[in-house]
Amino acid sequence: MKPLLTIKHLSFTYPDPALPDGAGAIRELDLQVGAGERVGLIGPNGAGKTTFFLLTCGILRPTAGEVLLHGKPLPANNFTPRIALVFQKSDDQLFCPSVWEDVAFGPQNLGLNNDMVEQRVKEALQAVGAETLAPRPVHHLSEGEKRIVAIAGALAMQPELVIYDEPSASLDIRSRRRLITLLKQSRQTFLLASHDLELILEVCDRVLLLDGGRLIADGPPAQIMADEELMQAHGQEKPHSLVPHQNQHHR
Amino acid sequence: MHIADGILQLPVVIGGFTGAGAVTWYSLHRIKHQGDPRERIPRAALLTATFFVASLIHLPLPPAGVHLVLNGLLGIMLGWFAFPAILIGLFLQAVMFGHGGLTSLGVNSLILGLPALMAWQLFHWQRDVTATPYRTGWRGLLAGSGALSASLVLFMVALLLGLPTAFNRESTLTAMAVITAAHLPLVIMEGVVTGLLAAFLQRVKPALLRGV
Amino acid sequence: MSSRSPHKTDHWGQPGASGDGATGERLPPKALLQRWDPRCKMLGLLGLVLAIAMVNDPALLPLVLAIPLLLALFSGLSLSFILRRLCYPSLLIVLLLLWLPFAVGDTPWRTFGPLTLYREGLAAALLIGGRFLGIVLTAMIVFNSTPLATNLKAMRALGLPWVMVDMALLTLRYLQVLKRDLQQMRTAMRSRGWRNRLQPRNLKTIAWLTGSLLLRSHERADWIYRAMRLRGYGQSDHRPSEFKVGAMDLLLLGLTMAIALLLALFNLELVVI
Repeated sequence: MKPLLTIKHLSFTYPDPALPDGAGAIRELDLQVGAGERVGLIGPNGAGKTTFFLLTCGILRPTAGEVLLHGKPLPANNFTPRIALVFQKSDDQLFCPSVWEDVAFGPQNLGLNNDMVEQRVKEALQAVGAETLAPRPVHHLSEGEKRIVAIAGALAMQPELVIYDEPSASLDIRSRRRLITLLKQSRQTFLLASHDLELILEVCDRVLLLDGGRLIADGPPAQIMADEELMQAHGQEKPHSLVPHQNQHHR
Repeated sequence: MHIADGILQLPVVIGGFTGAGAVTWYSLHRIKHQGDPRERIPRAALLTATFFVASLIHLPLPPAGVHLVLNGLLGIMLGWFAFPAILIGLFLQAVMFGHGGLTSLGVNSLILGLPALMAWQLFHWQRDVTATPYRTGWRGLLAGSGALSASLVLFMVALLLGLPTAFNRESTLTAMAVITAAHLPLVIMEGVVTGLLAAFLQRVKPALLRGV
Repeated sequence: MSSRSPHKTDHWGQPGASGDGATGERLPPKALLQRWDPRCKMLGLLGLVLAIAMVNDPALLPLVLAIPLLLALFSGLSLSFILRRLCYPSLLIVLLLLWLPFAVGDTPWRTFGPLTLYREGLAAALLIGGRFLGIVLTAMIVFNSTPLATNLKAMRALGLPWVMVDMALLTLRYLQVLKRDLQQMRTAMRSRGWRNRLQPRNLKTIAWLTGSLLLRSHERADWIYRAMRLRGYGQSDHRPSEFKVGAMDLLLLGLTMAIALLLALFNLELVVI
């Protein structure tokens, strides 16, 4: 069986000379993601995480290499509803007056009829546990609610792969916990970039360490993130929960 | 609907600057009359920048596509700040993109700014601020289409005044008819979008329609 | 000006603006136009463009075009940069240039089938095209030799109302931010299958998109105002002048005004070439 996502010798550099040398570039990336995998992506700012995501869903065109979905190349510089993206800032994603209308935006663009759109919206809102938010104006939601609605908007496309860019950024404790529960229950294949290492440890079963546009490490989160030397060399920290505790303060 | 540099004769250029200066002076006078303008300046500036950015949105209308003007909505939302806002927007457009013109800045700001003030008055005339978004939308549509139509008329008046004389009457009339016909779809789209926007704001945050 | 605070920049002593004002282009630091006091420069520009707008004789067009050429030599801007910026043709100009020669005038010059080319129309078209190029190039070169924010402050120093200048500076500052926001929102929309097509529903989408931007700007503005207040905005009306004028600045201004005046005199035929 072909893997869901195959990245072959992917390279990309931004043409903008104003950017610091090589920031956000991708160099010779090779990678495969199977269906059902939950992959975390870590690395310092400017490592190329966001660039990698934009390349994966076809918003940016690679300078070299290719992105294959089920072994077939993505249509160049085009968007596919099979890959959904959840943005770092939910406000960038939500623009409709009400939650229902925003979640319906994607399905409507797929050309579905009204009943099917309604069905999809209901399912998506149910999946994230936000049915009660449906009639609310988007602009009055809390940051956590906005994130949940943005995720519903992505799920309503019924994608095969969901990409989360910093999903826990600027969430309060309760919203973050709600997000983690949601991701743990999800049976979707997803790629998730975050500086929130504990989150990755909890929800992902594989982690990629990216630095300078190169793939540095790839493996189980508990194993890679426990490697203190590796983590520090690439501007990361060993997550607190992986540090052996002398003082057993977790009870 | 911009007049570029080089087209207008000097008296029209001077007249445009004088007129724009007078309207700006009066607007600033009214703004200061309403109290310390400092709190309203960032709001007016940010909305000006937003309208500027929104006018970059491309609408795929054949043959070449169009951009929205939105001077009606700008008037509705900015009130007395509308004219200074348009002047600033046009100035930045001229020096950053070379779009529009520097010597025609006065005339251009009158072409867009006077109808914006008109739309503001029209929109708020006997308006029920608690009206449904739907009814507010119709008001917006009238104000938006009205503002753009008025701009179109002013545009042609400015061209007639500013172009060299000795026209062939017939071909001038033809040219005017062509310009009007070409802008008709834009007048309609402008009205529809302004109406939808007014309805959107009335639904989500009605305070925005009550000025900065 | 009796006292000079230490942070004031001396435009002649220091390497000038590495302007990223209007364009983001980095400039070599020593060009004459970049060191010229922005206030004098704005006044000079005003004189030049008004003089060009006055021109009514096609014979003066070479002189008109010589002005930006001269400025370009002292601007430190590369030719390719100037040409690149010029690639924004005005549709109205193109239409007028095509229409005027056939529509205006009494003296036929050439006939092509049913079309007659008139002398007067041709002259009018030439004038419009020449003045357009003259003004656009002059303004573009002058404005790109100093950051736009500095030019705006120079205009405030020249007496433009502070409400206008403060508004313009803030607008300029947040244009880039909002452009990025819009870009990001469009990307998000496209990733949910949106295409910019001509259909009624798309107008609604665009209205909502614009509405969301307006809402966010409104909210952001209140935070900006608070931040400005916290740092003393509005506490004092006294703004120390950021500019100072030297003899060289005035000399250049005099020279520029002389050129503008000469052009005006030629045009009024008070001076004959």
